[in-house]
Amino acid sequence: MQPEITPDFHRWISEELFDHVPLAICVVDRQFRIVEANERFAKLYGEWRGRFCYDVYKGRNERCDRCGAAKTFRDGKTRQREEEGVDRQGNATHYVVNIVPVLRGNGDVPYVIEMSRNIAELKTLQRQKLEAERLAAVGQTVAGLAHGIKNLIMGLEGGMYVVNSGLRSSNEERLLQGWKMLEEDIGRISSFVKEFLEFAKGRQPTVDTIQPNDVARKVVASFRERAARSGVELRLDTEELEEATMDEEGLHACLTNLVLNAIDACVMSTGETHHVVLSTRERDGVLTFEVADDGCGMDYDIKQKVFTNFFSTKASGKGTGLGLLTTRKIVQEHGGRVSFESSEGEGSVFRLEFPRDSLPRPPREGAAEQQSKMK
Amino acid sequence: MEDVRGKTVLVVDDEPNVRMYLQTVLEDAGLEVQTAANGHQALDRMTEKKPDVISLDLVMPKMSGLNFFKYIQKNKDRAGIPVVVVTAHAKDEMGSDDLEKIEKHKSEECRIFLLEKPVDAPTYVNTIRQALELEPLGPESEEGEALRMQVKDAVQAADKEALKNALKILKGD
Repeated sequence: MQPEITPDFHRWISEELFDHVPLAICVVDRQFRIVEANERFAKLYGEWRGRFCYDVYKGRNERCDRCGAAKTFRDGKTRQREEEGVDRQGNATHYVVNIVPVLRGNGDVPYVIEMSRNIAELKTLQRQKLEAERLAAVGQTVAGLAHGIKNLIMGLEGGMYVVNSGLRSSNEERLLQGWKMLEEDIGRISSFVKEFLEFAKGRQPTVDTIQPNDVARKVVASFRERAARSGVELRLDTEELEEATMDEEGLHACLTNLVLNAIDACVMSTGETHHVVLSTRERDGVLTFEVADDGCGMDYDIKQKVFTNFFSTKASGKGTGLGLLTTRKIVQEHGGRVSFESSEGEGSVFRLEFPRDSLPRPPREGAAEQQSKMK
Repeated sequence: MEDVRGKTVLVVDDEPNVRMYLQTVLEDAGLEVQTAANGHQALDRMTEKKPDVISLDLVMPKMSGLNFFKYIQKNKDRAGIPVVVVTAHAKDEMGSDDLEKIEKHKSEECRIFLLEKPVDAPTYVNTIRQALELEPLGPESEEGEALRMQVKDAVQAADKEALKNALKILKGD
């Protein structure tokens, strides 16, 4: 038996508030059937009477996998979700929905009220902003490319000179030295071109639901031995994290960049043994990855140039100066930010912060589900 | 090359290949060469032997070229050594900042020369000779080398718009 919505409550929501707030509101019962909705909701989603919420919002024929309303029915708590759906014209919608329980005295939740606000425009603006930032970064990079190339030409010119000098003076040692320089520089050109193209291509991140700690684990496993060979102990320090929607390959690239930088910073430092720690944590809905080292650290001049393209303090052939720039680009694509602290001679900490609210959504969640159902 | 006998150049650059290149060029030109990979090493080399000219890269780990420069400007005995700045960053933001600072911190007697990477051998040698107040050497006798330099200079000096227009005409647009 279902309780009645009291006349007073009904009048209040329908006459005073219901149709005048800039929100699409509906009331859902425990069977996920919509029992009441405001004008705006009807305008957006069409006829709702007698239909299930998942059908109206998303055109699905069964409950959503991670249904917020079901959770609120269970725990009586208010929650906020970001969702994607389809409006009555079949256009994609992007909305933030607040799910509020209608609580009875005994703690039962017979209904939930869902209030949603369309954020499609905001999302489009966000995407446009990201794209503009990416183009600006590529622009800077192209401008800086000339100077990256200058260094490479200098290297090739040097190799050629030393080879010629060796030939002229019949100095075999010098000849071999020159040849080695040329070989190294050709290697550099390959990695330079590869990294530059990686940075410049407008790669669409492949967003998926992943366990962030798995990526951290993989990165540490891949480089532990290499670190040990350089006298650096690479450790992992994770806190339990919930899954997140991220581009796994991108996150892997970011953490790899930071870990390799940290190892290089240790190698460039004078001390005997060094440590690099990759840690993960989550506070107030912000996922954080941190890579800390006790390597050489950075002085004021270098700190100013950390995110400058083609800036590298690494020895010959080791750095193109694009690693941190690429890292920042990927983090920004996830709506996150990169920060660091460093003291010369003591070490550095690089931090990637991803607010869960800003993480990208997996593209066409529903479509993928429907496809798998069709198989 | 008689006139450079006994003159020593301190080459400071963090890239081993660049050091090797510059060292070879200078030795071929009859100069003596010391090398250092950063500012700290450069200070050590100077204590061993005071150079007649310093060839200095700006962006280096540990002690940057700028910090090294500021340091030696404080020492009366060393402040007068001419410095040839060899940098890939002459025209970008970070390089021009450093160059401004070098101008600001330079002592009165210090003479500064600026070379932008990539540096070709004859230009490098002649700039070092200029820093030593010696006459520049004549152009390379080897024909191929001379032609290569001419083409390079012409391309570098060319107006970008003019080049674009020339390309357009060639394409028949």
